[in-house]
Amino acid sequence: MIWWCKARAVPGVLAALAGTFALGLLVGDGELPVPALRGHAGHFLVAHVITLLPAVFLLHGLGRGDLRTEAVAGRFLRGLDAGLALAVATAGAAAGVLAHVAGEGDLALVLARNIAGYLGSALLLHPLLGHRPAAAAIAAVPLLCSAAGWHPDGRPEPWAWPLHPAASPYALTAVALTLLAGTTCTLLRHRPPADLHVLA
Amino acid sequence: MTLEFHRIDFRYTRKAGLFAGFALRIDDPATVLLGPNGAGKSTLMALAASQLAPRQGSVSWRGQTPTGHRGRAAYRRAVAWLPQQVTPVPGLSVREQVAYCGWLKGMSRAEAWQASAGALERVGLAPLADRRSHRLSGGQLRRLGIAGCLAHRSELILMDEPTAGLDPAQRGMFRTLVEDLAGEVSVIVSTHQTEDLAATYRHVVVLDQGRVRFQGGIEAFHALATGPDTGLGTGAGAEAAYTRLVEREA
Amino acid sequence: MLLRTVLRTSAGLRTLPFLVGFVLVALADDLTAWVTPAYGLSAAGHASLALPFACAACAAAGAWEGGRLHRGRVFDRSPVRSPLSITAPVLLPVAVTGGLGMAAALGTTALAGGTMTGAVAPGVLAVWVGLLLANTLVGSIVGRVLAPVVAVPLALVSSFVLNAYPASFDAYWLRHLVGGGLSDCCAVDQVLDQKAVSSSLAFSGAVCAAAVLLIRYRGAPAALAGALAVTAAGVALAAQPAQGLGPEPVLDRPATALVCDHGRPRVCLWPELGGTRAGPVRDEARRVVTTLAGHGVPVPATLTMAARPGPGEAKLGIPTTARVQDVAPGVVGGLLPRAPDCARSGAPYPAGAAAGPVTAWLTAKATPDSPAPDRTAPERTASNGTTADTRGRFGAQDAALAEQVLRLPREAQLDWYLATTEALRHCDTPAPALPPGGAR
Repeated sequence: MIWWCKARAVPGVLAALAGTFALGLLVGDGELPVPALRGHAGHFLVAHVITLLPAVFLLHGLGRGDLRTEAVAGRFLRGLDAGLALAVATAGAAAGVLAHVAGEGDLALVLARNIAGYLGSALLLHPLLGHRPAAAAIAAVPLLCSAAGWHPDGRPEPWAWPLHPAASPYALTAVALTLLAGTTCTLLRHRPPADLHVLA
Repeated sequence: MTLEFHRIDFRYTRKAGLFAGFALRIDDPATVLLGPNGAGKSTLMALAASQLAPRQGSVSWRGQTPTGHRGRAAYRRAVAWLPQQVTPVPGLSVREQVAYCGWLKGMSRAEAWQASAGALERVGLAPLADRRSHRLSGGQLRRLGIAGCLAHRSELILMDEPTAGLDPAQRGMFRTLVEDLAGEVSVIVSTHQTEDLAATYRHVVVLDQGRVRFQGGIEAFHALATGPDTGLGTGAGAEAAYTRLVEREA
Repeated sequence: MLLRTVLRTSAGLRTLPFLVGFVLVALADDLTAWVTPAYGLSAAGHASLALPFACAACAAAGAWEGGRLHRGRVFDRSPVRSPLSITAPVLLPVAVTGGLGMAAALGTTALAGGTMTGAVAPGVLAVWVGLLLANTLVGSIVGRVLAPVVAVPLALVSSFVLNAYPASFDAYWLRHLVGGGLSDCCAVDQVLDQKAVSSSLAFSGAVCAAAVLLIRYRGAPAALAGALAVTAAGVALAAQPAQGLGPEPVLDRPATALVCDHGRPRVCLWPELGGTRAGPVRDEARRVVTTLAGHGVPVPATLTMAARPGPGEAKLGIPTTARVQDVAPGVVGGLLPRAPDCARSGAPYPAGAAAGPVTAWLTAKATPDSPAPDRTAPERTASNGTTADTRGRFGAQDAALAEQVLRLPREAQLDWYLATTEALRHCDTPAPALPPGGAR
């Protein structure tokens, strides 16, 4: 287990989680002046972007081991990987609730929710694309949201979950569904990522 | 102790079909798999290791197929695989990576740690046990991979080009290792190197373009060169036999 | 490397459909929202809205390519070719992808503005090329240094933030380094300030040079120090021209570009208002001026679309797509004085409230056959935010007051008009009270 933790760079993932929270609470409400779209710029916050970090580090961990050897492991590594992501999401949620209770406001909850959402996206995309393209793809999510995620009346579109306020039921549902879909996809998908298929 | 490929269909892409209705049965404890580049040796090894799954057909070891959660785990515990490329895991020492291979195969942490010492001893890497795995040379990495295969109690060891990058002394040590292992477990080695086949292996399979060109004992393979009394040495005889069997690569 | 190999394997070209799709689907509405019709420079400027996104795509694809070269250990094989000549063909398609993304944005704005040929503005295009190259090169270095799984998202997000964020700083010069003000360029009476272009080119050129140093000498300490020095020098050099610029890098368009006739009054129009439209506009402008003069309203000798009319000239505030009915409000707006600087800086401006009734009164005089209409504001011009900006925006209350003035004797009306327009020139002069007899 310790070796698996080392192979997955779990300390790095946890450090990314802590760093994201610290940075998020410090400057997370800073606004990025994304070009106004549909006549309304919306409030695209630093917290909407930096919450990617734990998911990127998770993907880094998933891709840095000896993938061929791991692919024929007798242990259920996909379960461990999904468990790691869920544990990080849970730790993020706990930190968010604690910070919220301690008076850090709704931003802490937005940080926790977005961290969980991006982790779910990573779980969903990793088995389909492989770790490198998955990392690039989830990094495009906040950019897409910033550009096209604002309704003309200034509210975020229902699908642009990272932009929603803390109390948004849409965003919570979307994040929960993403986590569920990601976990299911990770647990069920047997085919290894495409970059392993260069054998012959 | 039989590895069996039963009517395997496999292709990487729609255009690149590799195996169609492929069947092969290997029951000798020391088998060498020969074939030109692109013949499908690595793919066959990956299928046997259950890293790849056939579109149709099945692979079985002693009647056990890698299907279902329990079946796959049991199969993988019994079958070890040394892929063509061994990747060092950043952050792990040489011994830790070998132990990690054992742990991945279902051994407990303590068992895997204990077994890793013996495995490293057998491949001559014990002095480097505490070195970071990403600081090994190419040849040392292959030996690390072999040690990983030895760390757990497998019944079949699949090795894909295990001697690539090894110096003559290490190749000699590898041959001795295979000879020793053949008394304990079954070994299937994929290679291009035809020298000293007779000393190490008892069974030969020649693969070309996804089909078996030859399967039989080592003597029968050598006899293909020109006849039983050609006067060629064993290495030259094996090479001549191989050349006669395999069409030149386009 | 064979061209077909590059085309097949380039991360940039794989990114291309996503980038172009993103520009055409997600950005199209905003790209086209404020384009000045028929003015090519405006189309080019507004297309710059897509620049942070194209730069981010280039940085990410560059990081992917840099990581690919690193993973392939291409530079460890003792190549005869220099690292730069190996890297350049791999990165070129990435930069081209960014260029095609911006071309899609430019096509969108040019189509919206109805000007395809005029949209090729060399200054704006040069800024794009410089920044796309800089982002591509820096991305490739990030890809060579960091693990690809981290490098690509890091390059994508940080490039986006670094290209978009400076526009929010109060220190305006920072935004001009990354072309942040280009999307505010330009109304028809404005041109791009070349200082913004030279500032951005100096910055991107320095970043490119620093990146080239690092690629050529593979991150040797001396190269690293050199790269830092070049970047610092580039920032210093770029800051010089950008220091004096405001948030929008624009200047008044030279009046020499105006097309004037020799009638009375003389009417000077921008060439964008050309073709069949110019003649009726000129005729209507003269009709309105003649009508107003007939009512005793002092009229200028020249009506001009220039941003700052000279002595004896009045602004003709009409859009480049002006119809005949837009001309009267345009002439009326030009007869109102510009708001004084004190009013623009937020000082109390008691006469400001009189702009509406004066506009309504002038409109009624200029178009005596129609009741005072509730007109909308004409197209954006450089005089935005001034009194002229409020012209035509008169509602029921302003119209009612104008109605009262219209019931006064002719001389009283003119006195009220002259006194009110004089008051509008100062912050400390209240608008005159309505003379007795106006109200019932």
